[in-house]
Amino acid sequence: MQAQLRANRVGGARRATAPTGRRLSVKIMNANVLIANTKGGGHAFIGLYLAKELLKKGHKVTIMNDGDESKLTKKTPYSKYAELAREGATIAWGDPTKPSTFPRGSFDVVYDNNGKDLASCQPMIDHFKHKVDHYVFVSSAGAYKADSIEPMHVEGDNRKSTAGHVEVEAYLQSARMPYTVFQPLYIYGPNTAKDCEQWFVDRIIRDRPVPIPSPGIQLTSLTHVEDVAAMLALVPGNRNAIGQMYNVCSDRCISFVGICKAVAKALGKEADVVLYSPEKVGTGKSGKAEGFPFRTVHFFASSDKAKRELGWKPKHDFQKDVAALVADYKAQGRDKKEVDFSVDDKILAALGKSVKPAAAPAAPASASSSSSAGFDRVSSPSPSGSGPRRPSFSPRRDLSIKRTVLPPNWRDSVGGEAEAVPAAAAGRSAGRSSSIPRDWRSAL
Amino acid sequence: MQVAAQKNARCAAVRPKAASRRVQVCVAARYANWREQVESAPSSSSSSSSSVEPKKILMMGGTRFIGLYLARQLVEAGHEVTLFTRGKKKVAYEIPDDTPSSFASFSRSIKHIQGDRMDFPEVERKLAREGFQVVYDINGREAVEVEPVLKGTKSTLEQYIYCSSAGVYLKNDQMPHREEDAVDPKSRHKGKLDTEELLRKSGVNFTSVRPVYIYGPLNYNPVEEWFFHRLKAGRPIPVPGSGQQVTQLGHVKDLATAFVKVLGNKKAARQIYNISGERFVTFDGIAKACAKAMGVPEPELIHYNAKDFDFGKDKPFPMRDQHFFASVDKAMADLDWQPEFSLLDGLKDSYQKDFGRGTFRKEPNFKCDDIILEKHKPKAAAAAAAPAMSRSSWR
Repeated sequence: MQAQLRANRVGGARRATAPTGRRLSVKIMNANVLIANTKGGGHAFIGLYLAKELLKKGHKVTIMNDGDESKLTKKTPYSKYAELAREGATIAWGDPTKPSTFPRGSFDVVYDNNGKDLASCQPMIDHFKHKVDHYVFVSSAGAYKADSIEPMHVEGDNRKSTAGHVEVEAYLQSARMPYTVFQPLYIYGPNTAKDCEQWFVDRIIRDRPVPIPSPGIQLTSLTHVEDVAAMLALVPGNRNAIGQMYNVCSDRCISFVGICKAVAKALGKEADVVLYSPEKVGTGKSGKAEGFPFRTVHFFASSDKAKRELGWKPKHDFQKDVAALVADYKAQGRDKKEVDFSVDDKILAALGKSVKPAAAPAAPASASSSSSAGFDRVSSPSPSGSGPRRPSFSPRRDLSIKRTVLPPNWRDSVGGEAEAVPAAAAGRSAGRSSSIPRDWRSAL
Repeated sequence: MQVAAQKNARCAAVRPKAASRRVQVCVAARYANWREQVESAPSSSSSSSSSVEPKKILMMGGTRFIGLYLARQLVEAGHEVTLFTRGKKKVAYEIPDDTPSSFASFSRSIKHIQGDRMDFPEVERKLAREGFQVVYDINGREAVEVEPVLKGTKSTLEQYIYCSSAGVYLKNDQMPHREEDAVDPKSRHKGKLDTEELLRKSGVNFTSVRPVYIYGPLNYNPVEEWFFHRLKAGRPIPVPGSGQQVTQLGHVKDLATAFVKVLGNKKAARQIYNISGERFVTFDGIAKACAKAMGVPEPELIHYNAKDFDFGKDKPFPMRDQHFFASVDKAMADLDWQPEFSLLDGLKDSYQKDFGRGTFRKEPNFKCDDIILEKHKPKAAAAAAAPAMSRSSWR
């Protein structure tokens, strides 16, 4: 029952038109499918939804998950496996790199939704050589090389030679496996193990500024996990898919600012977008920015090949889904949880911006001081916690003072001077607060 | 072979004027894979234009850009094509692709009705009793212009094919534009929207085509020309914003082919199609691609904030400063159409047949460039202004 290999089409020779009349879709009912699922990350919930989709189509599904069962079943998506079991799937826990841990049985179709490089994929490929009708590798569109002229990724475009996924594909070819490769981009949806749009919700729901790498119009693909699962589930029985690779993504992409606007609209708020350059602020370079969930360049792909050859169509639309995503976020109580905004604060400080006071006022930084990362917070809530908050100290920019050195005990010399000498304070330079003693330098 | 004979007949119908040799080759090619075709399920070719019988076609316009290519393809396909124009330009206007014999044969075949389409009674009168079956409305702008054409061709009209614009789409953060997306009633292409609406309401079998940015030899809109001028002069290219705005160029020949594929296509009835190139390109990317097409080194790109300047009525950049691209997968599926030109190949075609031969439509105007450069590179701009330096010192 070995399907014909179409090795010469590997590398994605783009077909001009659908193979009219030659699309023989032999429907195999009740294929025995094994999904080797990963233990975390953005792909983790693909296994759950793929299993559901395959069960709906009438196949027999075994999901073998990597990782520690006792730890993972407390988190999504693994916490939902009980539901899967009720629907008839077999749940197994095993190590995809150790065939001895694999569930018993002969499988018709195997999905590797775990490995990212040859080391993690090879044992399973070798084990199932000559034993399966179809071997599916869930790769990643991250392997594509960025193109400065035509940003959209199409199957067959150049990929990074260093990408581990590319090695795996080459191995599948040389092993003459009846394989199909899928390349997803960013995935969103319920029960994910990795945040996607939640990063935006974290900030907008708390009325915090959203730091977005300039220019903010970068386009990214966001695909609902159900659409991803639907495409992957079209494989069993589809011989046309053998030897092919497909991008898995919505036929829409959205800009970073667009995500902010959509989330803000769903929350009934206005997004405070702050554009910044990760290179200048020192939090990133060449496509990455610390603390930002996405790569900072255009990252979107064409799914036309899957539409033409697999007959797939996306059902979801991020702008339409965002209301439900936001409702999900609130239902999980995430709006009450603490979020680590330290990178945000670092970025904002470097830009000389502050977060509106709900917390302590941020240190005002001179825009020209790029080395202000180490700028100390001069005004902090007074230890006694009493009285009106003292105005913050603004260094005089004309003096080109990069850092103002105050002795740690400068407050000690502040007595009742603040109230007693308001006129004298006014006589000093305009921005200065009255709380710093004239002779502070003598304490150095 | 019954099947082969059927296909033979179809083949012959498409090319009635072809030499017999061409028909033989056609048959031979069909014979080569007859087995596959016999086994295959009924393909979509029954709705493709290759099986359309010759029609009497009216083209509104047709002497400027799109029509030049479209008219030729229709004539080659065996249809009788009449252009309705004011007659200000030659009816048979030579294009770079023409050979003396192809142009001669085209000139002989193309017909003409002289008239002003804005004179509605005249239009109706001149079209009545002509018996046009298909109308290609290439230059229509407002809905009122379409009414007399519909009335004049009422008794015989089978299909009305309209050249609209993707400019009607409402700006959206989610891209690309798809045919079902919201349209912008305030866009400056409102007339196109109104026309589509009129066609829909009239009940006629219409198809509307929405191109994005069209380019190619003889383009009168300075899209690629704008970049070519600057590259030729060795000037830096000022790009608004980050240059990461994504847009899309479509070669005029691919657009013409798509128009031809709409003809007689049942799937296209009362449908709208985006037509453009398959890939999308950034503003920076267009500059780089044009340089490649010309065979010159990558240009210097100057990114500026458009809000910092007031250019008056002059346009500092040939494209709208936003993401602007549309998905063409509906057309590819329904019309069995695929763009032949990649961006680089298309720009090379445009350069080699037009700008590269020394022809262009608009004289270069570097006024806006100089305003921008003055702010961004004051030393260089001053050097350019100094009499001792010549333009070529930009290189």
